[in-house]
Amino acid sequence: MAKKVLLVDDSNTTLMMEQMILQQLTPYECITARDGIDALSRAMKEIPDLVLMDVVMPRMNGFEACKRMRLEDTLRDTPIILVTTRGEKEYMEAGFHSGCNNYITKPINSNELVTLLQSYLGK
Amino acid sequence: MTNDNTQEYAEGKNLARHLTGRAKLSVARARLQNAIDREDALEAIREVVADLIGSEELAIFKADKQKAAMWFYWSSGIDAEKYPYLDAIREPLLEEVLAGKSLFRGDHGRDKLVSSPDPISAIVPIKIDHAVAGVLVIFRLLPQKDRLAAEDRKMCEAISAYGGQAL
Repeated sequence: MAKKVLLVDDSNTTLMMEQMILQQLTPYECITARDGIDALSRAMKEIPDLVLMDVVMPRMNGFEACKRMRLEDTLRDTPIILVTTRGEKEYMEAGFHSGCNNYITKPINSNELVTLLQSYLGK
Repeated sequence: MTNDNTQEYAEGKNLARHLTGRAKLSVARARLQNAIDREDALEAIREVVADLIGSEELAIFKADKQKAAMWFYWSSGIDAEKYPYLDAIREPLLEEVLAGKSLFRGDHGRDKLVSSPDPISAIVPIKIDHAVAGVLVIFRLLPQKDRLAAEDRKMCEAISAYGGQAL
């Protein structure tokens, strides 16, 4: 059974890009959400094997969504990777404080993304 | 790592790099061409520049060929009041943009494209029916991005060709 990755971003462009990379280079199944609230509800329903989530989003940002996911028994141990435009230390610390496992910066590099996902999900 | 593994790793990395460039261009074109209205076309340009090229500071000016000026139209991430217009008479390089050519910082040893309070990385003509109707100015790149690569230039060309709906 294919591993399931929940992609969360309010940018159509980023979602299209991430889906294309994962479809071309991995066997993972992709599901998508457009903001933190949508992500929380999809994650609780679908129980993904990994969440790849943007930080800056309307309604609920990635930090908050990450914190809420960690309160759910079914999502407590799910790897969460945050996607940011900013790589500054303070920003990353806030991400890890919210409970994420790792982060990746935009613009996304396919090699970096696939290697990172494989380190959690295997090939 | 054995020689075979090293070669396999290098080939895999090359393939991924190639796919990244191809995927980005393909996504940029699809996003721009499928914009449903003016507002969505502006958002498509913002997304392509921010998420694929790597800059959160951009502005669009509408070209006025007769007066050789470009008037501020829209921006994201910059102080719009600093840029009411770009003057092609005082900035001769802008004539090249009005003629349809994109300008990139660093090309031909140019460290500065026009005089501006903020560093400009690229100026890209936006065309409607092959005629320049506006220009996209990309200011500072994200800290993790040191320069615009060949794949970024291709995406700028995609904006040039398919971004006209934004105007």
